[in-house]
Amino acid sequence: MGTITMSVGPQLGESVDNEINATSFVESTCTTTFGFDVIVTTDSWIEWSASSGVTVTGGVSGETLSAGTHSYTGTVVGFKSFDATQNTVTSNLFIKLKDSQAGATLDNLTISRVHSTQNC
Amino acid sequence: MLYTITNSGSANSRPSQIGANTVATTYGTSYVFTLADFTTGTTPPYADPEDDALSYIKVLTLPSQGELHVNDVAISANTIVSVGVISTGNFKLVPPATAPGGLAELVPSFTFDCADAGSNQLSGLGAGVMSLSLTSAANSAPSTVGDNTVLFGYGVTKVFSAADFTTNTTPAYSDPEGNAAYKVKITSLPSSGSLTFNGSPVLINQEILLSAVDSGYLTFNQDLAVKSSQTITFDFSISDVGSEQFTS
Repeated sequence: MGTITMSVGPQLGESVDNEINATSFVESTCTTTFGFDVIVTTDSWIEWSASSGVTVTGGVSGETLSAGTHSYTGTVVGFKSFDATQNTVTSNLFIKLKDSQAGATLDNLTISRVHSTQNC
Repeated sequence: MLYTITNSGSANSRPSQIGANTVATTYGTSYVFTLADFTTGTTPPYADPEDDALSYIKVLTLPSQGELHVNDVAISANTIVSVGVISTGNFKLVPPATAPGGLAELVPSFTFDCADAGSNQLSGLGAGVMSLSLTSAANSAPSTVGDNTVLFGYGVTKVFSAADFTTNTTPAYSDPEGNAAYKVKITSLPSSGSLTFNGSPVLINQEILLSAVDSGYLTFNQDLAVKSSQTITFDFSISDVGSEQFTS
């Protein structure tokens, strides 16, 4: 039996207030680059958790965002999958926008890259 | 004066009985003869007045299909094959790799005579007949079906091709007989979005001709309400045109 793994990119589009909006997503053999921005109308909180090999620039996880536009970029370094059962593993970046550190979640977004048996 | 001549012994006799037999193998698979094939396995069985064992056979005529080999070398008619060669597995029928002319089955034969160990002479009774029942080997299901990862963006309808299930997988599709892939069977469905065939939802275990896949009838429609990246999987199996059997 075989398995088809479909890796679907995030929605790209116009930024919406108080949401996390993916602005770019480009996959190559060994690297994925992406961008996202956040436009908040009042002070807010952003945090994320990332798999190994995922880097984000433009800010840090666990920071207060002042009202305005905040842009981030990032990369995922590709690697050869060690998952022999499916030949694919996924690196994820889980981003969460909250109204405050302990407050309600306003939006979230996941950005993923699927690694294959191709060696980088 | 009367002389009496007394025969103090008699000459050892030749074999008194040889028979016919049928052995079976498949095209492409050699058959190794045994001593029993020419003695106890024949009808009637080999017999000798002194119960002497078989010493050798003589191949009188060759089969119309395949070759007879001694020590892996093809022999010609009127070749002597000793018991030692037969008992050590060095007398073989080597059939054609496939049925000639597409015939499913053939029963060629060769003729032989037997000599016993006492007289060491052929029976001279006429030909024993060894018939060779050749059948086509059962066609096997594909031996290799691999995994594949396809990448596409948000909002894109993925249109599958046969290559997504065969040549683009790791490892690539293969079949023991080299038969081409025939159908894909969808054995599990994606957890998000929908897999459709010609506009209708695909059902678990639905079988789809790969030619129809190549015509663009198998598509994946993502759930546009999900704006994040998604990793979605489904499982499949492949059959080949020879066996029409799916991999397990």
